[in-house]
Amino acid sequence: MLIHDLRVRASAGGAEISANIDTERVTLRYSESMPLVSNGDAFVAIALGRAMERGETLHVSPDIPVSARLLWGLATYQDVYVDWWPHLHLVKIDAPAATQSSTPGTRVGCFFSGGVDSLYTFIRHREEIDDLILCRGLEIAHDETERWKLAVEAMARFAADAGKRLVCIDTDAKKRFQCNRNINYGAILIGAAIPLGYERLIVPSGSSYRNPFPWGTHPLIDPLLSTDTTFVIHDGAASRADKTQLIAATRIGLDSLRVCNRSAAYNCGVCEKCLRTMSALASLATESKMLPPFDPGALRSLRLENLLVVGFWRENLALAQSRGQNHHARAIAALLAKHERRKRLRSIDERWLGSAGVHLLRMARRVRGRLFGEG
Amino acid sequence: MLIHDLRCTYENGGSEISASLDAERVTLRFSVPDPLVAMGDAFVAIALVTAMARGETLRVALDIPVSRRLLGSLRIYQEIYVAWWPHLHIIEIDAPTAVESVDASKRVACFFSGGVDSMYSVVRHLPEIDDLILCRGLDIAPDESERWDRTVDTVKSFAAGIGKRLVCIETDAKKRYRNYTSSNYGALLISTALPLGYARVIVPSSHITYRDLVPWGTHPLTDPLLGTATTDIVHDGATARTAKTEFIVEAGIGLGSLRVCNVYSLYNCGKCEKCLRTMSVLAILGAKSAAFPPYTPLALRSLRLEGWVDDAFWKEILTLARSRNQPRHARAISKLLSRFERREALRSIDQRWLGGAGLGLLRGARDLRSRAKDV
Repeated sequence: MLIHDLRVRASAGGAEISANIDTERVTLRYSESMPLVSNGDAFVAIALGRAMERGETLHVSPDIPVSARLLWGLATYQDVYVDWWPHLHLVKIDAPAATQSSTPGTRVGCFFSGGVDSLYTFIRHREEIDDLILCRGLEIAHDETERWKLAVEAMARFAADAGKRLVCIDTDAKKRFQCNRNINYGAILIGAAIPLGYERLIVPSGSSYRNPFPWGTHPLIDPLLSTDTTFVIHDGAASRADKTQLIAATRIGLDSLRVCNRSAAYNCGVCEKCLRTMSALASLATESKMLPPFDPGALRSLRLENLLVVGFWRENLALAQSRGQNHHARAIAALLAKHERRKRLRSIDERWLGSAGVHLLRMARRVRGRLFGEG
Repeated sequence: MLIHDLRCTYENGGSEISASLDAERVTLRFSVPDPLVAMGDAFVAIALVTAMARGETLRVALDIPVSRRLLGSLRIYQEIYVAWWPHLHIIEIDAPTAVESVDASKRVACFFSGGVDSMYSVVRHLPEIDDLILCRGLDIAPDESERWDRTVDTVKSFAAGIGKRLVCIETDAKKRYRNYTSSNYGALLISTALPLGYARVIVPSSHITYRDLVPWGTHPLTDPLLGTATTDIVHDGATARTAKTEFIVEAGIGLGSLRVCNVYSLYNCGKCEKCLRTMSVLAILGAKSAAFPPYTPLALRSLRLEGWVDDAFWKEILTLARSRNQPRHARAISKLLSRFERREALRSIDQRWLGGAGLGLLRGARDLRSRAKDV
């Protein structure tokens, strides 16, 4: 793979940097007219995952320097990724290391989606943060115009109230260079903000330090994407219940929560992530005007999809119990018990029936869907 | 705790930096006359975990600047340590922040003990490394003069052979500031190199994978957080020990300079678990090292594995022996592992059903036997 033809230009009220990765043009657009760091760092971060999937050397054109710190970090980054996901390959990065000392940035940027993780980080670092960064083309896709508009409006209000600047980034990098299972999510997110030349770029954490599971954004790997200009900081790997508690103590946090990844609008109030947040807020005897009030009965139809989510609900159970919210605690305990039953059944099915039970169930659902027109 | 009275001196072709931590004087001595970074970074790293254990604010005198980058990262460092060892406290670090400047240093150093981990990192980064750092006062105690002298001789000739400079550092920090319950070994190690102002310092990893990282004093999550304005810390190579040894053997560098033993007063005893572990891998790979006595699998008969870390290392070696079709080695290692598993099973039964009384009786019997022998 070859990164070449780097171009930086000012666009209407903003700025833009783009480069070719092989024949694909990748563009990063910024809503603010800021001087951009004109080197290959962002594009190396964006392309690396795909190069590792293909086992191809990542070449960077000789006229596009890459930070020495990033090149060092990416050696370890690759070690970690290959260990986590053995289908990937260690690849050579053939890039001209920047020879001139670059001026470190002065501003501090923080990714901000309005969710629990980013609100928690914002509250912790409110004094030092200059810019809040909202990305289009990652968790909000390009075709989700209405959702993007609502998010920008809400985040702009939040930023103005907090006395911060909102920087919107629009990128097509994910569409073109997302790895299988989105394992390079963090590299694309961080890569998109690297040209802004912050001194520190804060990535709100969704992990825990005790048992961080391999994921695209992670306390082990995000800092390895630091450049000569920018230190990347993975911040706040605390429990989600603790985070919600801190947010619940601030009005600005409560009034801005945006946790939903499903809704075309803002927060749907029925998906797992919405319910998880609503449940924690209810245990803390508070609510957000951005989410409907929590009804523990809503958990009856909820299904927990993976161990990560189960962990969040265990935290919520502990929170409800510690706050004496017995009604909530019972509903959460029933939800977790349902998950455990399903897990046991699946394990029996896999062990004794070679997963025939799951296949039968899926087939029955499909037949029912066809007969009665259900999804 | 208060860090004060920082002094740098240069004499007899070497240099020294010292500071008082409360009433205790801590000194780092260097065998080279390089200009030292006269900042408090090293002493903050040394004192931090002790201050966290005591729950005391760490104060730094107003005339001793501390890197802004380090101060920013130490908040996360503390959060990780508290997540791992909840008896510690998050403390305030009250220090004057240094005005950051981009340092012109391009030199790269690697901690080097002569063991498999450090030999692997040196061989892997051979072209980039300028200096090898050997420490006295950490794994080699200040009073082990003979062991130190012999190690310096061997490492010096190894460094000269590969065209690198050897830097010896002596520290007295471990005696007073090593915390064994919540290991700060990494901070004590890294602190020794910070005053030398390298662009990068490589800390060879002793972890065998990035997947199941255990809390440890030197760790890929925490070591890089001790980076300063001048120096990046690179935690390098959490890879299986067998793969590292294979890499060293294939490179044909450093085999004769391996020093793995922690029990022998001279160099490698050839009998302890760590020596045998290394000798066994070399024998399976068909390699010879002048640093060890000849090896035969019979030596494993009297070996006793002490815990699950040893067990994991020997399982790796068993896999290697099988993949290299070395049935004699594989059988000896299988027996060693079975012995350990039987002992662990017995210990578990003893603890569960006899409350550890069996182990107590065994120890008592051993004690009696050794007394009878003495009489």
